[in-house]
Amino acid sequence: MKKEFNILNYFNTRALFMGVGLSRILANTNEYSFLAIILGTIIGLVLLYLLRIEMKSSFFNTILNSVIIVMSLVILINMISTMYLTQMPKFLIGLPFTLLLLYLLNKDEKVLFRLTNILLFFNLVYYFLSLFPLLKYFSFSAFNYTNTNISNVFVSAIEFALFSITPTLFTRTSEYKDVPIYKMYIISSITMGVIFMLTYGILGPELAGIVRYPEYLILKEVSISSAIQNIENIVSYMWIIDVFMLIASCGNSIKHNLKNPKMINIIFIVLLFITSYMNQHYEYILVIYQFSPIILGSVLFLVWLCNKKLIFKH
Amino acid sequence: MKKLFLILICLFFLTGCYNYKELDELGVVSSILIDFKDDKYKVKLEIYDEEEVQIFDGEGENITEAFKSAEAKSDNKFFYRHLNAVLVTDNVNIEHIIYYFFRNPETNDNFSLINTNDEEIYNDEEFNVGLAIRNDLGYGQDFSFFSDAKNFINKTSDLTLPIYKDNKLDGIKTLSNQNFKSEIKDAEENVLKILLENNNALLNTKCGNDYFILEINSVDTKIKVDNKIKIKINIKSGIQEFTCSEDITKIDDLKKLEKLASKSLEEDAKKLIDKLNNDSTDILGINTLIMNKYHKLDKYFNDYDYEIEADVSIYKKGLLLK
Amino acid sequence: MDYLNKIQKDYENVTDLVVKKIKSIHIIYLETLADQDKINNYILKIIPKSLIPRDIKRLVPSPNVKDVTNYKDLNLYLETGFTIIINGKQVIAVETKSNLNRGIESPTTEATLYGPKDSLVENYQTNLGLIKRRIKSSHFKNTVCNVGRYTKTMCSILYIDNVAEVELVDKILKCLENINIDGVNDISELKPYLINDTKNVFPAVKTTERPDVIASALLEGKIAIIIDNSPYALILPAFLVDFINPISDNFLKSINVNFIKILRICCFLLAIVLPAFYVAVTTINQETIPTSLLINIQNQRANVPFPAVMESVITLIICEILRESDIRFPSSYGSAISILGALILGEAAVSAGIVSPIMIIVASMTFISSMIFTDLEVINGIRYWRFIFLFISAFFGLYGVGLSAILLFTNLCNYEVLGKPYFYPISPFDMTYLKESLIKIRNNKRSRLLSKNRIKGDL
Repeated sequence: MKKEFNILNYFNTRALFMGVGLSRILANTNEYSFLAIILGTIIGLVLLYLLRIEMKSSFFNTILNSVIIVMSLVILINMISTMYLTQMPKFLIGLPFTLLLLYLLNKDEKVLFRLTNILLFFNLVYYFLSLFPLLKYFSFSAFNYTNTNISNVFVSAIEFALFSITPTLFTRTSEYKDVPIYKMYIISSITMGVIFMLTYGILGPELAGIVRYPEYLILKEVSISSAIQNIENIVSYMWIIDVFMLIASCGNSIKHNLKNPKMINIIFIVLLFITSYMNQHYEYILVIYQFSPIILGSVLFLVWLCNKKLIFKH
Repeated sequence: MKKLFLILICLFFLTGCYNYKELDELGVVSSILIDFKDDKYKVKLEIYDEEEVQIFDGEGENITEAFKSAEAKSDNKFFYRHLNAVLVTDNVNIEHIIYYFFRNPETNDNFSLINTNDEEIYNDEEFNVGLAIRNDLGYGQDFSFFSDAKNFINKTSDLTLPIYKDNKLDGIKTLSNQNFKSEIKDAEENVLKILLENNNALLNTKCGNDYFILEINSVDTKIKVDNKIKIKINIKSGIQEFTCSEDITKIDDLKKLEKLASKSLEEDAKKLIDKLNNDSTDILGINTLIMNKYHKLDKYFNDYDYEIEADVSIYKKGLLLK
Repeated sequence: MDYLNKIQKDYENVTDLVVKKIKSIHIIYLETLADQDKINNYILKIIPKSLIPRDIKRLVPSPNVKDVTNYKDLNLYLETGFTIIINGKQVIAVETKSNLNRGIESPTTEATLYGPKDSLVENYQTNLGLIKRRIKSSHFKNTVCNVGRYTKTMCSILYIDNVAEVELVDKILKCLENINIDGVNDISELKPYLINDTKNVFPAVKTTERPDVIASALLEGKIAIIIDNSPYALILPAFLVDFINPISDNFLKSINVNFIKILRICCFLLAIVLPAFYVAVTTINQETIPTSLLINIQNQRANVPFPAVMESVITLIICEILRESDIRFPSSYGSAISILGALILGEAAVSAGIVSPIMIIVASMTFISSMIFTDLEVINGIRYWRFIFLFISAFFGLYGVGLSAILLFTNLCNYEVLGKPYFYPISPFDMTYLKESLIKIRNNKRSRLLSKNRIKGDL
């Protein structure tokens, strides 16, 4: 199961970038975004090496993971509502997604791990299916000089690290606390970096700054010869898989600490209602968009303060 | 299994059909003409109808209203994801159009943005304007809405739109900021294509009273910013048509022809750039280069002097020896 | 004498019981099961004219002579075609089974172009022989038990003891011994007792009639079950991929076979997804189809009054009816049904405006794709998921197709066959078994999950 745990963290590392992380970092760092990614990966590796979070209280654990679940679910549902199903109420978009998650979470933990293998395959297929047709649109002229403050790079690097490691740290259950995931972290950072560069190279500095889902917008350009066009609805499934696995592993972490595992059903239905309430008001989405690194950072800091089990490795 | 069926049945009765639209009640839009007159937006939509097309028109105070009023006249829902072209007249504020289509995710973004001033383009019911434009421009990204919008928003260079006139694409319209400027046609369009590294250009050179035409196989344009702006054009070409008296079996004469072609290209390019600078349209993206070099824009692209150097080489002359 | 009276009492209305008394010897057999020639040769001819010896077993030249110690055994022997000889206190059973079998014929449900042409028959001994002829090793074992209160069918678990997991054999033996039913007529009836998987629509036990399939499965570390009176054998544990690929792949060149193998996986997915994809693409996500095709489909669908979902359901159900009637009908009528169905579906339904021509193409593509699989259970499982995909996609479009794909994979990952994951070589991922099932590459290892003896080396 070590391999599967690593794959699960491949999804966890990538998922929070959809809708939030990617457009934030691109808008803040522009042509230096690659520096932010490299720095962020290094900071993330250091934090992964140093930090071990062992959640003792199930209440605390539930709250922490719920923050991540709500954040990613709000963004995902908003994305689907903007792109796939424009007329459908957001609650109904979230409903089958949540039911599917509950179906998975009510099974044994190993079903989740087995599922990662298959979804990784599909994820990579979509990834390369979009990568190769998009390469021809990439242009270096997008990396021209813009008035970017170099201090933004450091802030963005920390943001990158936060977005990529917080889910990993929170969802690590006690059985897997010593499994090394550095290699997988680097691989998923590289795949993420490629998406960053591709997005910036195709959209250019200003367009990348003004659209909400730049990573989705570039998928609209995917075409295989002239016959297969507009397949963004299929290719963007890459992101849905990422978020699905992230929420599933968060849910798994909640379930792991609960005394009665069936409670997960109630928790998820409550979370669904919270998300659909938040989705009715756009200001919440703006809050998530603007303050998500601060939320994640402060949550991590809180854990560091409250949790005495936070240990240095040696 | 029971639970699964229960969920399925629940889905069946609870969700309803929100995005559900049957194909036969769909009006697939092929192209749109947008005009602004007397403080009102006027739109005409071209809808696929078996082999023919149907035209619906509407007007309103804003773009959305105009589209809605057109849709009210049809019993179909309009579907914008298979758009081939959007034609805009000179009166329209191009910024509004671009942001309208960008905000609206219900459209594809590989349609072409075209300029036209001919309001009667939809008079033939058997001629699909949108398809004709798509076939003319091909599926490349050169004139897709996406790249146009990118150019417009990024302000790296000014926008150019193809002109549609008399059932065909003819010439290029330049814009400066948001205003339509002059048309670029025929020979000038050719030179512009060369400057933009487009391979589909021809070089027409006079030698005395006669002429020869070179078909361009590859162009390489390099722009350097210094005290002056230096443009270096490298062209590899083949002879398409030849009526001059020179003997191209001789090396000297061939060199002479190459020089002749280079010189005439330099002159044409100089003229074109002067014209563009007068219009203050920055098609070549020189502002970006200045910004890249000096990290500030003290002097704009039309404050500089230009120096153009062309190097045309002939490496193909067809089957004939002479 | 005690046994004799009991037999005569128990078999009061059984007309084929023959009790013969020669001197002091009683010969008892059922004449429908026993071979008269054998009785003549093995028993009647050797009974000495003079004194009957106390130990008659020495005289009987039959290869299979058994001592009978209790009445229960005696009963079983009698019912399986043995002849019982009661000589004073000595009771023996001599095998005199008559040959009630048909000859070995070529396989019908799993026919291949190349490869062995023999298939199992109803006789247990013949079947065991067919398999033993292929595996010449003392490591090839079989454990026997009887199943059924009345039928007392002989049931045999076959395995190779240094390849297969012996714990698995014990587990299966326990399952078989715990079966408490009146009778077993076919081996398929054992399936639900072996594997408790009422929720899984895909089969978890492979049924085969080919001895070569059984032999190769045994060599991989799997376990086979054969019973008397059934021309089929069960192989377990069987994973989903085992049903996708037939044995005939082993007899062809691997480069060409790999193409077909990949095609089959695509067909498996296609047979499930295609109608759902059609509905999603024509009712919710119309942007995905190329423009010219969209206009084409739009024109074709102009005359159809039903929504696309209903149209698909109608067409698919008509196809199911057609397939069912084709299977049930004797083969000589079958072609007539096919012609009728093709006429109704292909021509009349379209011109009557009930379905659109493109739907016919989609339905036939779906059915052709699902017909690749030889196992009927797989086709049924595919059908089940096809309808789930169809309904979900009608509401959520391509988003729904994706969600139901995750649902399918979760479902498949959840199942286990005798403690082994059902979706095995794919998840948990194992290259060694993948090389033998989904693709064909030379492989000199056994899979980790099936065998502890992993290297294919010396015995």
